[in-house]
Amino acid sequence: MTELPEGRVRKLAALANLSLSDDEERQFGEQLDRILGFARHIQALDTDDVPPTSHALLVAGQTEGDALRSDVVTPSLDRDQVLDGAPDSGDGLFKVPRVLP
Amino acid sequence: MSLWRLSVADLTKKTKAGEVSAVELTELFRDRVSALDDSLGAFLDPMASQALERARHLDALPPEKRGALHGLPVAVKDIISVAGSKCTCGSRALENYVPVFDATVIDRLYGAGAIVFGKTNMDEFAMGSSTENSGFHPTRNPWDTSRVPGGSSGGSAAAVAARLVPAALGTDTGGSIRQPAALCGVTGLKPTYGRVSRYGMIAFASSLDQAGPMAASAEDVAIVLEAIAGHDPKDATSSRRAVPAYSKALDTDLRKLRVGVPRSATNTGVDPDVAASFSRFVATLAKLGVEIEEVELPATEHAVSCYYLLATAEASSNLSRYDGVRYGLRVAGDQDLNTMMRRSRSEGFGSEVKRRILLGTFVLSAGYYDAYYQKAQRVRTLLARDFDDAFTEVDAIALPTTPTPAFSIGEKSEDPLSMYLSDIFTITANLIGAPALSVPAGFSESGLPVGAQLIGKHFDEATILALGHGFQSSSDFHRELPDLARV
Repeated sequence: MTELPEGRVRKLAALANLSLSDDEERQFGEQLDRILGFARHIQALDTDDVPPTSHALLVAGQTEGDALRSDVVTPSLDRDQVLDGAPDSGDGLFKVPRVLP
Repeated sequence: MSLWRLSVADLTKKTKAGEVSAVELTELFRDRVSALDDSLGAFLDPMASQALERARHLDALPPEKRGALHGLPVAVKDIISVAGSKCTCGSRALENYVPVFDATVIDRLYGAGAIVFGKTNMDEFAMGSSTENSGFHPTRNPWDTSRVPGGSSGGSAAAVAARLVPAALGTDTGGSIRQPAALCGVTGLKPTYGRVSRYGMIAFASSLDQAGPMAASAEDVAIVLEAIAGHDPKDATSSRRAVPAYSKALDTDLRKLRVGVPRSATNTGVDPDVAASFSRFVATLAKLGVEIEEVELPATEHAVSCYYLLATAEASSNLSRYDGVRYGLRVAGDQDLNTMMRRSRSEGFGSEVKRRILLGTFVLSAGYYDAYYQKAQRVRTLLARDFDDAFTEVDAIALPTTPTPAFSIGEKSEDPLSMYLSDIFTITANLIGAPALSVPAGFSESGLPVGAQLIGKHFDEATILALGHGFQSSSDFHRELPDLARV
């Protein structure tokens, strides 16, 4: 059974901002098909009355008040140091190629 | 006995008493790295000069200023930020990335007097179970260099196994500390989610990631955990609970404890040598007075599916930040912004990372979100309920760490699904946020290490460490060394 419709891998790559070679597209398509074919068995579980868990934090018996810090402003990293690590910068900003093609 | 064979406990006693200097230890382990790491590839950057500089500073400290880990070399997985040193996360995309800040676990290591002794190899962005997905080179298993060390913290595991370092830090999103610990014959702990700060650790799946210690024994792991655990305002998910003195609580009376063994523990699909070691592990615990009970965890058969749907979804979101703008690889040329971003990502990421980003993007995409992502989140709740029920009856759950001993390099690299299935016993602890320990529990017929795992209640690292320590007090598997290390 095919889990991914034809052309889907190319669309996913576009959404994820990746370009794939034809070989990669074919190989990833086959592999994702197998992985999803395996993973689809969870569809058989009855979870109608089961709420989703997004985070183990609350599972661990903590309340959000315990776990989350208060929203207080503190100094961030030094701007010049951070910009030093960028591929291109100038005037205190990150520089990028032109936005319009 | 040669110093390099000593435990963290014994080494730090000597350094604190001034019997051994930090420089002496650093040079000793540096020489072992020079002699052995060419055949292992455990390190990406041994950071030898920084380590020596730090050791000299520590040696100048008066005795009253020496911390719990005074002078102890600790290797760090290259996913953890050390200010001023490259942090590649095993990826070509971050080949030249140098963080300007220390991760909180690094601050804590420094605070305890440890020496950050090199950055270790890993699967790219911690995605993998063999360290073959490193963007730089694979790491080899010290017990058999034709085999993988496991992953993704394979560099840290191999380094400890060959005693290139007495202890190391790894990270564990689905087994990445415990699985390589098992395959390399060392002890590794994934702490409770929220026990150790994630600040400065490059994110893979933020609801699952956790850093933890790897060393020869449960006692050594307890000593390092005590130093790195605790609340950190820089990690919103870090817990405010006090950190117990884990290393002082190891000699608990085991006769009061109950350990659950799921029926699936030695199912078909588990290698017979692993099953035999696991049975002996459970029998040893019983001999120590631990009460053994059978437990039911019916949802765990869906754990691998649940994990790979949720972890890839989180990864696809976390890895969208690598776009060549603020740091990391930029593939330049005469092009517009979007082309630059797409080319930087496509050339920077390896196959496994792309595969997981695509899978995660699929899982989160309109029309599939409910059937895959949300369904997996509901299954995550079922898993948590299974363990909640079991933990009303028992104090910990025992499982093999991995279904097989170390596999050969190249054996599973073309078959991602079979690689994912090697995580079958480890991923549940991440999904429910519980702590889990892997201890050396025997050897296969061909002489490869086998691990056994103990999963504890949330924030009850103390019980699984005491059980692991009890087991290690009546077994010698954690003291065995690969031939390669005996130089």
